[in-house]
Amino acid sequence: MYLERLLQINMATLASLGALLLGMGQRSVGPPLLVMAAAATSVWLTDVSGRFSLGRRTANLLMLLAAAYSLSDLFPLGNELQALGFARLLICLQIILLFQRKNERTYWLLVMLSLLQVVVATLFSQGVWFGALLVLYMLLGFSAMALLSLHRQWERYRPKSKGEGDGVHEQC
Amino acid sequence: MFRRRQTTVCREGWYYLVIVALVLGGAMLKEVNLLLILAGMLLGPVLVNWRAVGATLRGLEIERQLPMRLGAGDPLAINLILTNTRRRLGSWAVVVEDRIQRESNSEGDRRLLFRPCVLFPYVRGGQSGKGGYRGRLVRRGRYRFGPVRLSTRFPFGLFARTITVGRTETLIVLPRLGRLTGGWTARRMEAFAGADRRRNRPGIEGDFYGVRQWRAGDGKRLIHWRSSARHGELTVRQFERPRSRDVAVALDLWRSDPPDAEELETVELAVSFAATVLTDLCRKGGSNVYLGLAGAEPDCIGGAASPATLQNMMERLALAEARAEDALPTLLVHVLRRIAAETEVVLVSTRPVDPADSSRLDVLWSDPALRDRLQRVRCIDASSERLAEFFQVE
Repeated sequence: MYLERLLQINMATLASLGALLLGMGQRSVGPPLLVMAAAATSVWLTDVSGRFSLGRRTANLLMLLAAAYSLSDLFPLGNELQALGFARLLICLQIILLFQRKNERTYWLLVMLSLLQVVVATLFSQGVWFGALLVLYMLLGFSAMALLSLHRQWERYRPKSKGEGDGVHEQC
Repeated sequence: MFRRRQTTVCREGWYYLVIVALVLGGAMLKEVNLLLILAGMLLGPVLVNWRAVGATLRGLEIERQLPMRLGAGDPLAINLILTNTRRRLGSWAVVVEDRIQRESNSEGDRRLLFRPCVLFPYVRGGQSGKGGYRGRLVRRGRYRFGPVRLSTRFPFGLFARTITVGRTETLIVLPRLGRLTGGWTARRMEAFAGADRRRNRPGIEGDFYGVRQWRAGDGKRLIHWRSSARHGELTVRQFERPRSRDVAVALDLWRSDPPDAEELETVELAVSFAATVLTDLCRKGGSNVYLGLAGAEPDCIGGAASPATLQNMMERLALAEARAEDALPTLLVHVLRRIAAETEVVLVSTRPVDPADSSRLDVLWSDPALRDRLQRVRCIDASSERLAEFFQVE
């Protein structure tokens, strides 16, 4: 439980930092603040208390809506606004994922989205603070990957409380 | 003990490498320096993970603690001790995968393989971590444990390093025991009383004990004439009357080829019954106990009822396998020739047996001594519902 909580907090921080880097690239405050608020709220509402979470169907529907909302900026290809539209799509997807019940797949998607945000951000920003935050981001990313790997191993091999039959099932 | 090492790229590792390649490709095509730096930073975990998985498994030793004895269906608890022989560096997230295979002549049974896994989250340098797994081995027989595989993906899960440690151990899972009912006890008492009646006939039986004065009722054949002449009065010889409670259990495990599920169930029932009878006899003690088993060569083992004898017989029962050939005549000949004449013989078979069947048991019927003893063999058919009168599986 402690490991999972640590992972949840780490993921929320990573998502916030990724959005902050994207915001720095775009010279925009809104998206990072939105993601930070969503990350903090999701840790409390979805991960800790479990009071609110998006179902799989609802999340898929919201993702489709987000894609449709960003679609206008994605085309025509080669347009400068394309990157901005893509960034907006990433932010929307990230917020939706943050409010889903987390599993291994969700965590990996969050890491990938965050990384894509940073990749997009590097196209815009070249500042010193960006570099410093990028190093911090990478460290957080590595710790998230390590925690995710440990969590995955633990979930797979943790002691099971029941199960017996023609063979060995339980472990202590 | 051999060690085989292998490092593989995990599924997540492939995904990660593809992403790194895309970032690197994009950076080179678009000539974005920051993106190039990012790609370089992303390559860091690849190298770290590659080195770390090798270092984590270095100097690790695993020890397995098997139970001394185990019955089929009994709870199995295996302890694993993982020792980190390095002085400082700890080992994280090491998965120990054991292998359990049932050894059998049957091809299908040999494939029965379990792979219990135990995760050791962290083992400090110079220290040991304890773990284990529990379960049940519901079938009797010989099980082979090992070789053990140690693996880790620490820290990022991009690469997996596996070491196979080639030490194997075996454990014999003894037959499942049941409960003998009052019907069996009554039958045993009846058999014993019958044997006593047979022995109470006047005659010379047993070992010579000494001489005593003649009493009314003593037979003339017991008079020791030389001692009588020396003492000047009639003297008779005394003999120790052996009260034999010796029992031989002959087990005839027959099945058709190929066997059906019901036959295999009957075989297990017969083995359980024989094991329960032998356990009961050895616990009571004071007699000799024998076990006859049909196989490629019929076998008869046993001796004075004791825990050691019981263990030996139980191990043989654990490994006993049913055969499609009719081995009953040779088994009975072997057992009856091996044991004393007064020993009670219980034949447990997986199909009905008629001792009067002279065509099937012609080897015994052609020998007068064996024919006489064959009449006293008690047959128990494990495929019959009547077995429930004597025995219940728990």
